[in-house]
Amino acid sequence: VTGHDGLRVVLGEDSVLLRDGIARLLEANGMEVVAQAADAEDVLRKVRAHKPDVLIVDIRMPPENLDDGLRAARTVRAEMPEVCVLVLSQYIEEGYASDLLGGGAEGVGYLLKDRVKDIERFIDAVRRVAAGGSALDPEVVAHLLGRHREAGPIVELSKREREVLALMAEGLSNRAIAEGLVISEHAVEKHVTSIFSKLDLPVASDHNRRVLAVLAYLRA
Amino acid sequence: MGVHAADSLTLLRLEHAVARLLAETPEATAVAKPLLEAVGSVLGWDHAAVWQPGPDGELVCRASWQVEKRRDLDAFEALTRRLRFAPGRGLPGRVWKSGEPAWISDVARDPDFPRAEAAAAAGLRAALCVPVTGDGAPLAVVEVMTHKKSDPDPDLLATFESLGRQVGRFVEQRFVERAIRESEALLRATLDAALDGIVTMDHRGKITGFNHAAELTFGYSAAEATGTEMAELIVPPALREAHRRGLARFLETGVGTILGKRIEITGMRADGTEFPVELTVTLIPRDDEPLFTAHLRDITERLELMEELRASRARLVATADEARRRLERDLHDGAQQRLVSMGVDLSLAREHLAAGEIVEGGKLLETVEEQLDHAIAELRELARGLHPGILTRSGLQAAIEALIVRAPLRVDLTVEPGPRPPPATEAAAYFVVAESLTNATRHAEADRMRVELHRDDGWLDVTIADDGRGGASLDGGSGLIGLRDRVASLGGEFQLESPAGNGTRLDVRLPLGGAA
Repeated sequence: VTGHDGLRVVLGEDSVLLRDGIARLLEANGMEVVAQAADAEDVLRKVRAHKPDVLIVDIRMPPENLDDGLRAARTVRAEMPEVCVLVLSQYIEEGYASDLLGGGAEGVGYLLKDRVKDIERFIDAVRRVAAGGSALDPEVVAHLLGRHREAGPIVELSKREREVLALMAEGLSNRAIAEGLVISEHAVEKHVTSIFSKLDLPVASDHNRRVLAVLAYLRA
Repeated sequence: MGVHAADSLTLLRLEHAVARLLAETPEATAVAKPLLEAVGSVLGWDHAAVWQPGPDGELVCRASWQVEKRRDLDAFEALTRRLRFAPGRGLPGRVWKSGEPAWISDVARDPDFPRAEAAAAAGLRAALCVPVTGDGAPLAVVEVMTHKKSDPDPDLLATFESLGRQVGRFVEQRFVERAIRESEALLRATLDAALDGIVTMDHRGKITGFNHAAELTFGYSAAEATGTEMAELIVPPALREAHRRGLARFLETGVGTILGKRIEITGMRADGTEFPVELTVTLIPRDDEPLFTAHLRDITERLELMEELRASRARLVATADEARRRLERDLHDGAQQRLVSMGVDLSLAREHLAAGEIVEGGKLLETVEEQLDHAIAELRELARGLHPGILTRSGLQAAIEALIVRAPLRVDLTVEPGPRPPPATEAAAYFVVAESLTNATRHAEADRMRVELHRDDGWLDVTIADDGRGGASLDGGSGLIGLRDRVASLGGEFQLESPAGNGTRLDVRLPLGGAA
């Protein structure tokens, strides 16, 4: 469907059906699934062997069927920081998100499994993570924002600014935010500056750093 | 005048005779007859009688004596026994009413002596009658008669009056003693009939009472226990000092921490074994040193029942949690993955079709259709496992028949018709049959099974018997313990017989509630 962009992926998912589907989807979008794994140990083995650009892994996997996939992802981040990780989960649990973001949001993603069927956004998230950005599920972001609903500077933000903040937290680029909200990139820039000023965050030119600042703020 | 006046020796002998008699007679009621005989014979008189008021207040002769067997005396005696005197009437009535002794020198001349004729026939002439008085009130009157014509003798009268008081006091005292004895016997019978062990203890901590239940509970006889220090006898060594300190503190300060409260402690039997006891100690205040009564109950069985109940509740909760976990796992691994996967395939199919790749798109849609069928079937199975829809819709018999159709062994089903049981009973009966079928095929390798549902006066009796290997038990991971808990939670009964090699029989009794 699209051209080959050369991203190499290891895919960890115990449901054969779904694993096949996701693999097809990634390959149809020009990525290369270099290995597939059905349990957490297999995931680690194959990541170590193939050193992919991205690991996409289900949180719940054998052998224990608890958070084996998440633990494998953390091991990978610690052992091989150059391998980016996108974790999929049937449910959103804040604990998992904090666990994963504990070591920074660079090259890390956490999405609900359902999101894979929105192919365009899913592929976009994979690419963002692979590029060292982040991809946080809207539900996680909603949780994070919800914690700040009652008091604090966020209450000062306009409705539009809050929307921009949410999309930033998800990891979207200014251009993607502009497309999503159907406004100009310039308008997004202005909102971002205003948000940073109201939240008293250090201004950074690099997009990733700004996302990290936002996430750090929301998680504090 | 004073012809037959009693001499002082006679009076002395009379007093001695009565004193000895009273000392030797244990019962107040037994004193009358020997008293009459003593008085009559010492004085040398002929007839004596005791009168007491009957239920209607009229005086009745309670006992009599005559000097010898004689027909004329017998006739007088019979009349005496028959007559009733209202207070104030006749000689006994007059003395009763006045409370004073009376002397009639010759009854034939007395205006109010109804037995005068019979007395004359028996040769009786003089009569002496004195009240027997207790604490002020007259208890009885004693009448003595002689064939001699005898004028009032002041000494004899005075002696009689004194003896009357003496006898009265004696009788009263005996009555009080008897009342005390009876009340003690009643108390002892009550204590011994009590289900609780009742132990009384004095201020030194010594046991003063030990009822029958206490004997059974602790294994000591009342005789062994009485006089022993309570702490030494029935309190385990580790708790003795605390017990002694508590008693000492109470005696010193008047403050008792456990008095009147129901507490649970440990008791010790004669064989040294310890057991849980429910204890209430009450103080019996007295003028001198206080007494304590302890009510004790062996609650071993109750605690065991409570523990069993707690364990059963915990199992019910654990079973419910496990069922939820299993359901979540089934949904997660099954339908949820399938639906996400279908979503992916549909998206891919859309992209293929948009790019004009009809064949690839069509293949993906076929896959989606297949997965949809699978997902529907999976969800249906899952729903049935949660609660069989057919049970709600069509009742127990239809639901069991549906189980039997799917079972790989031959099942003979008998169902006594009747109104539908309450849902909880239907569900319990259904799961009992379902689990038994599973066990019979999976573990017991049975070929045949009999399932019978009967109704018996408010109960649904479910009997299930197979010809398999037997040896089923409530231990381990068999679903039977869960079934038993479910049945118990409804107040039903559950009985399993499964001798090794000889089939399994399960009898379950479930309440029909108001639907019976």
